[in-house]
Amino acid sequence: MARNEIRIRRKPLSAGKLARYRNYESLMARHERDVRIKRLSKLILYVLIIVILVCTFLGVYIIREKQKIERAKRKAEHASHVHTRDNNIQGVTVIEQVNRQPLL
Amino acid sequence: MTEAEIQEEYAILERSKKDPRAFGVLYEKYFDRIFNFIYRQTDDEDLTADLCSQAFLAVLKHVGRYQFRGVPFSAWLYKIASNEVNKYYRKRKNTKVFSLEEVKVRELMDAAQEPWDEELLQRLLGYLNDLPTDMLEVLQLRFFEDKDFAEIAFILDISESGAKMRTYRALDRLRKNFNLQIKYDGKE
Repeated sequence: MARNEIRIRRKPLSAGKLARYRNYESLMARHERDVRIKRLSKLILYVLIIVILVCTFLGVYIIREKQKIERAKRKAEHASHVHTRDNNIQGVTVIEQVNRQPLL
Repeated sequence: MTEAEIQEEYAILERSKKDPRAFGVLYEKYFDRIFNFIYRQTDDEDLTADLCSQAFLAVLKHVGRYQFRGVPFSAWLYKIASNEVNKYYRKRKNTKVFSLEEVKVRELMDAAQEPWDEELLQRLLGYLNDLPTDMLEVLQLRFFEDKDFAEIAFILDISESGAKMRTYRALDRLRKNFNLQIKYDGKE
């Protein structure tokens, strides 16, 4: 089996044919379009990176703030609970003392 | 190529790094050669035009990174064109085509002791068909593009001695089969 296909051309490419394909203006236009697309893609990529970073920072900040608020709430709840329990204990003692007093 | 010409091309390339329009001179100079080089490996005009544009676009894209490495700028251009052709064949998984001009083949075979006829041509086709791609690439660059071994080595990304060895092996078989007086450097 042949590894390559070998062909013999009787006529070489004419200068006219070559001139038809030679067009530096169109090549430059393609190059400039490619450069513009590349710049735009770079810009989009940078904007995306910045957006992702800002979202991440915002997310972390919001979560931390929420945690802070929750912690503060929990502290406040805990403090009020202990206060009520003390009162109750005192109250129970008072009631028990009242109850223990002999009826006259 | 003279040292002055190499320097002149280098100066144009330096200008092209800042203003791609300056590259136009080199495009006009090398377009026909690169087109023919690719056409010889595709035998399809439209495909060649596409690959040629791709090659020149790649040159414009990477011209900022070009550094002189002891070979003329054209070798870099051929290397990029060769990469574009290889990329095309890798993607399509087609059999590689080598379309050789009869005139050029005749020039090469003029050193043969046998008369040029259809039978000799068919024998030659058979011989070239049996050659591996890397040898055909070397022969194409050496005898159809007139490249020296340093340039061939740079274009095909092989060592200079490797390029010489491949040419020697291919020509040795050609000499034996066709009674050629051709020398290993392409001269009679």
